[in-house]
Amino acid sequence: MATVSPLWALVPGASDVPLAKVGGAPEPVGAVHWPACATCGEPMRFLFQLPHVPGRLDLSPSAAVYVFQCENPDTVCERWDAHAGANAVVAVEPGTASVEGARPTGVPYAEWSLGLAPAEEDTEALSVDVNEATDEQLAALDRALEEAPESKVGGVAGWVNGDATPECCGEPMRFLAQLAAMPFGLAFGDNGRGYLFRCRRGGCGTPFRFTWQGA
Amino acid sequence: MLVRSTAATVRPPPFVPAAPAEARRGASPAPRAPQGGGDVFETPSQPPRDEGLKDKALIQALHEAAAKHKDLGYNQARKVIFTALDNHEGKVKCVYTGRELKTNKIPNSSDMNVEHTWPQSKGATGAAKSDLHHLFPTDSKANSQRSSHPFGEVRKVKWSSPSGAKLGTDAEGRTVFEPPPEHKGNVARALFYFSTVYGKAIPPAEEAVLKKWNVQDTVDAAELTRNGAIEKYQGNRNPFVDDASLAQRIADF
Repeated sequence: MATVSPLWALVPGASDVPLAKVGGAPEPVGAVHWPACATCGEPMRFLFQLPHVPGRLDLSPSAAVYVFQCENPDTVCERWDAHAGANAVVAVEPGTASVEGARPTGVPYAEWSLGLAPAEEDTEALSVDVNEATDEQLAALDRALEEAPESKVGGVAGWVNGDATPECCGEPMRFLAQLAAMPFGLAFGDNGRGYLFRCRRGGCGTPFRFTWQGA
Repeated sequence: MLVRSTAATVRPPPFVPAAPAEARRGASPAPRAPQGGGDVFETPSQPPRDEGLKDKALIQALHEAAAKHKDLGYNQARKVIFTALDNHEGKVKCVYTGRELKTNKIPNSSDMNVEHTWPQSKGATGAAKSDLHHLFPTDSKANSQRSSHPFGEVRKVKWSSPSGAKLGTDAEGRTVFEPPPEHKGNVARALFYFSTVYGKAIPPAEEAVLKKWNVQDTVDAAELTRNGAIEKYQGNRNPFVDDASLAQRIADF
């Protein structure tokens, strides 16, 4: 079984983690350049931000990541795809706070603070290879997915519709966090979840990737 | 009183295909080879128990006949779809795009995954999440484009597949998804089933389109075969596949 980071539930409405939030406007810890969609060229919509939290969420040397996706109402850009350029994870190192670049004209998502709380999940059940699993293991996977936090940092990715771990630098990326569409109303397809990953090698220019998956 | 719960569903012990369920509504029509590439439909050879019923009384009778079934669990349902139910000679075909994938296992979800014809976000949870009668294999991108949009007739196209599937806005400006012609009837009958078994209302605008598609894209041999195969796994049939005319006797799903 691959090494799994310690699990913490992301709790909507809690406020024990400064700078962890969904919606509203980005709160920069350094220079944030607002990204544009690689497909349609329009500014993306801000989704959420997560800070580096020692011992809980390791983003170093970045101080925070800011996640965006294209929600241009006139296009159908492939915003769920980790590599299509219709979403973006902007990693920011500590520095003079600023937000630069064109912004979308639409309304931001409603703002929610996020906290971290201890949580448990059945790591073994969640890590099973569905194509090698026995019927009992598949049933255990279903149960574990129901019981695990929908939004979390660390632990094992809880896929809504099967494993879709992106690759970077020739190998599967390391799972960092996931955020359920609800209660935030994020556009992640049908009952979807968004997933944040980090390159295991770290030598590439885009060490963080985001993807989402609906039912 | 109309009872439209799913309380009768049970999570199974370790998976085994269900024994063929007792016939509930008379004999099913025998699959018949498509003629001239088109769909065929044959009315049941024996009068169904719901003969003469309509509207809520018919929904109740169909619910009682079809609701009780084995809950496979979602990951078992995925395995069934990709390795048996929708795997034909080693290939699984996306119902929206027509793309075929050679596979003998559950593929990576970024390639092909399972579509909930009735969205999870609109009530396909619990046993409904795993009910094979409304689950179909789809290209992951097409599934993401459909998202949880209602079905309808697209006038202004934003996305399309060579198969004829489209996403866009309908005549009223609503964002809707239109499946390819050969899957329209399947979608309609899957949603009629879901509404009946799980007690969920279909919005009027969508229902009107589905009833049209149910007539336009009639039941074919493959759909009948799939209905019978699902009965072996989860122990119930979709009555709207066995008798597509049932939908016309229900004024409001």
